[in-house]
Amino acid sequence: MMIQVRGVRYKYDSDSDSYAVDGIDLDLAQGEFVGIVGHNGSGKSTFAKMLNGLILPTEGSVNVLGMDTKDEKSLIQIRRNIGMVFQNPDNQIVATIVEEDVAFGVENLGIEQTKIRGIVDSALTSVGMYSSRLKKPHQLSGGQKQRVAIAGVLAMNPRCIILDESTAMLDPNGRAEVITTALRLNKEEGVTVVLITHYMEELVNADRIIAMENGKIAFDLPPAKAFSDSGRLRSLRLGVPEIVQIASILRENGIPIRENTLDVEGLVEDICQLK
Amino acid sequence: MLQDITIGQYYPADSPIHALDPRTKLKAVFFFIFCLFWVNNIYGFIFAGVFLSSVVLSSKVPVGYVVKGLKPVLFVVSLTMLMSILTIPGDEAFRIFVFKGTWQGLRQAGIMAARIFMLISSASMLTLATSTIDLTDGLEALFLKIPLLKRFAHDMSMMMCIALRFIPTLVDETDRIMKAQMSRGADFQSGSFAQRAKSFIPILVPLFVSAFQRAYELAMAMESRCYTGGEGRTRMKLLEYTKLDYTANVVMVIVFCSMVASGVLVNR
Ligand SMILES: Nc1ncnc2c1ncn2[C@@H]1O[C@H](COP(=O)(O)OP(=O)(O)O)[C@@H](O)[C@H]1O
Ligand SMILES: [Mg+2]
Repeated sequence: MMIQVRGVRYKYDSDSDSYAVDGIDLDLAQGEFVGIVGHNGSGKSTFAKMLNGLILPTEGSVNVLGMDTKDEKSLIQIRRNIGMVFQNPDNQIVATIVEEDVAFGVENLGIEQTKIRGIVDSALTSVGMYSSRLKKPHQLSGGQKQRVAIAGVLAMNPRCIILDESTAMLDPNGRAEVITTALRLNKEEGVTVVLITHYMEELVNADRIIAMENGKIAFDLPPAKAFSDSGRLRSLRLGVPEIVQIASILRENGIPIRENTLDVEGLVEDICQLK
Repeated sequence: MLQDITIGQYYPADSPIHALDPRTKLKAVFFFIFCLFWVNNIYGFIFAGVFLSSVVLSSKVPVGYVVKGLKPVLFVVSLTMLMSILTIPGDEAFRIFVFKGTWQGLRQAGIMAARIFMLISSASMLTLATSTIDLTDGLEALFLKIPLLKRFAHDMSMMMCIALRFIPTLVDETDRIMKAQMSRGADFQSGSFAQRAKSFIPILVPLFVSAFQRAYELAMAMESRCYTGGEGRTRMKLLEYTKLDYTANVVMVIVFCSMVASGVLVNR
């Protein structure tokens, strides 16, 4: 297992007795694409920050590639392997030039100067931002900024990338750019992707969807199963992707649509089977 | 109105001044300003002026950009000029009512104005012809050579770099907050000075709150990208002196020596 989470709880205020994360057990395997959903304040970000040691659990343990996040000596190794992209694109770009920002993490690792250039260029190429390498961050669109942030993480050659609502502040184009990039990294380069989002349709390709509620895991299911119970989704204040809604209405009206049809292509295929 | 802010305003151009190593340019400005305080006669200022104008011209930065940098100090300089003309004792040059202007005062005022204008022009020239990242790299490299400042070299350049990175972001944000407050009827233009100053509080408070939020998130992002300070850090780009820098050094030694010499040798 790449990441093992055991009995983890966390509270921000040691005096209070309300836990932001309240007893989570979870295993993440290499190469998985996992979605985490849950309404605001359900503890997603707090949990995500525990996966790379930005926050240490009050109780329980988080183990990454055999290293405990409580062990200060392994923190750098853990963080280079578990990259994190945050919500606000403006608040995670450090440098005044795109390529300098991508180099930031690599420089922190103390990688030999002669090798950095190549690493940075290939990370930028991988997210399709190579041609903008000399631009200033404020000249980029939101989606482009997030792709630069992903490149900055990629340059450190991580095993896993966590995107914490990284699409929340973007327009539909920007969102598509980020999701396509994340999916490609997952499928082609085998990077584990943990995608925290409010947009259920971004998760139709996920291996599992984990729903959080009050710091606990409400369910951990493959997308087709997760979307099938719309009553439960509604009680967790989560939406259902449009296509899944259409499919279920069609099904109710006696049109045979397969249970695991989650996207437009699948639906078109099913309907074309009819005649 | 907010577009006028020119801190760290870089004017990209393909010129020998732009191509110089930032360390060379920083040293040049430092010594130029130092020499300006040695100069106390017309010959020295001619040297300095010719040097400065040839730098400006060869940098391909429009002269207007450099002149614009002088605007903020214009008022203070005129006021101090007037004060020194009227208060420095000496031989009378002119008289308006009871006020007596002296030759010595005029001379002093001229020297002071020339000094301040050249000082500011040289500093704007540096920022106009040097990208911010080069500037911070150059400062870091120079600080590392100074024993007392060595310890702060990396932190200082990182802070400058982040400040420069966030200036456009915060300017945009201020603009947005101002518009939001105006749309609710806030008025920043009319009223007494005190009233206008007070009307800026509803801008500053949200701006500060958001700046702290940004700082917190940025620190988190930097930490998650393995930042632990300057120790053990490598750099993608290394600063390297070229032939151009050696040439510039020779030119500068000649010009600066002439400036200092003119101050020492020429009889006042
Ligand atoms: N820095 C903080 N200090 C104190 N409480 C916090 C902090 N960040 C989050 N919380 C609280 O922890 C809980 C979980 O928040 P969070 O993990 O941000 O949820 P989500 O990302 O799912 O919206 C919320 O109740 C929130 O108010
Ligand atoms: Mg969150």
